[in-house]
Amino acid sequence: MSEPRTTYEKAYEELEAIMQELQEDKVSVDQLTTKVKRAAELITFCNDMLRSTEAEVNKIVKKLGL
Amino acid sequence: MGPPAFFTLHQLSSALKKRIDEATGGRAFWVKAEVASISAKRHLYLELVQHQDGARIAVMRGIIWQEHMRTIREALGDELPNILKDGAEILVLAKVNFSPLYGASLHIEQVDLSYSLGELERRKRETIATLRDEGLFDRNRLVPEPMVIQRIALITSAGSAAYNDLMQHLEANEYGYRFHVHLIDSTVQGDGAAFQLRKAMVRASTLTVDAVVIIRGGGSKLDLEAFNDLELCRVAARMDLPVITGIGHDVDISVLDMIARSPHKTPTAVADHLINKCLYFETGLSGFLVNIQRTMSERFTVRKEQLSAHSEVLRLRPTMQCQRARAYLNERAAGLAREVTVVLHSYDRQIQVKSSSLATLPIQRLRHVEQVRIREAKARLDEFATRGLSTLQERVQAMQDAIRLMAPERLMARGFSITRKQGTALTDVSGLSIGDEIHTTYSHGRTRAIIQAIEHHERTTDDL
Repeated sequence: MSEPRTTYEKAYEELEAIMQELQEDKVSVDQLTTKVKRAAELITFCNDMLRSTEAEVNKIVKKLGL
Repeated sequence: MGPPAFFTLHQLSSALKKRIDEATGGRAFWVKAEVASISAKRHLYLELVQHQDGARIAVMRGIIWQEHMRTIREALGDELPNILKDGAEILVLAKVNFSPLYGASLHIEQVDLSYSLGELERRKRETIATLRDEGLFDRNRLVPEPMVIQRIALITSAGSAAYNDLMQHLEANEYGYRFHVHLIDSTVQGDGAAFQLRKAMVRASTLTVDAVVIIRGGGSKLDLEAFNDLELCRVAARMDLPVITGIGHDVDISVLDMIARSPHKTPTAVADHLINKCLYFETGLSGFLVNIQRTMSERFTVRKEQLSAHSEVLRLRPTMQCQRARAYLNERAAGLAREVTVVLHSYDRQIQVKSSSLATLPIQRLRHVEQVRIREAKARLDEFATRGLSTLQERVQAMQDAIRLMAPERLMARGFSITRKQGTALTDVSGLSIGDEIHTTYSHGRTRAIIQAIEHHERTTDDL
């Protein structure tokens, strides 16, 4: 799994790189499973990060009231 | 020795008065002078002076008779106390009077208003220039004003209309903002106003407040003089607190307004400014919050879209790649099958060819052998023919010769004959019986005979 210390930006950067490789057919069938697995992990990580950040932000904003 | 010739004081005074009256001809002159002091009794008495380099260089009494006072009051209106006051420089139309009893004096008939206003303007310009020279003119204007001003040092005359206006506006604001006002009571017009304002300003600088507010109700133009005071403006300019003015005037503007951080026309306008600042701040805060929410939401949306696009690609792309690989493999497999079939067919054909040839081969082979044999035989025949023909011919010749020798005529010529029975040539006696008719042929002729006797014996040549 993705190490928890990685940042969204780093994860996303890596994801982008993999996606580009995939889209340019640079990934061999041998690597395909590994790469897809990694990309899926990164997407999950990014999604979780977004969800938790969004929830946190909304909580903070709600606290501010107004 | 008697006393020298002399005049009595009255004689002298009278002579002077006569000369002065002759010189002036009873005419009035415009005279510029400074009011050193002023005292009002039945008439108005002024001490007029002129200074040069800080020293008096001329002094003369001035009198405004009651009857002139009326016209002058009409001309000056509200500004009269600001013009006819200690320290003011005035331009007056006056007649010179010399009284043996009171000496020289000016009987003032008119006071020029525009000169006084001009003087005010000139002094204002001087003050501005001085403040600029001292680097003070822009100092307070550059003091940052807090986003919200709620603690206020208020300099004004307690209980004045201006004070009431401001307080009422601040307290009655519809948004419910609370202001903490620390009043510093001060005269705002007339003599001593500048001094009191200055003191109040110094006092304000010691308070923990957000701003200093100076207000005044409406008033005459020359009422503004206190606010043009150089010393007051210096103190105000040096304030670290923002100075807010509401000095209540329409046309003119005081020097204090010019150097203040935030000048307004009226106390009400000051109150509006303070309330609006609070409102703006609060609105801004709400706006910030909305902005934060919107910006965050936009960013989240964008990122989620990016991720979902990637997810989609990730869902499709590898499958597609695998499918492509599979399709390629299938294609190859199909190609392989085709190729194998082709190869097999070719083998099959070969085998068919072989088997069919296997069927015909022995015959062919036989035919071939026979042909060879025939060819050989023919060759041999040819050879034999060529080689053996002459021998054969010789042999034939010999045989022909022999045959010729053995021809019946020849043989008969040599004594042989042919005996036939019923046309068949006889070679022995075995078929003969007694009484058979036999015919014998000779070289020349024939005989017919009947057999009388028959003898059998072994073949011998003795008979020949």
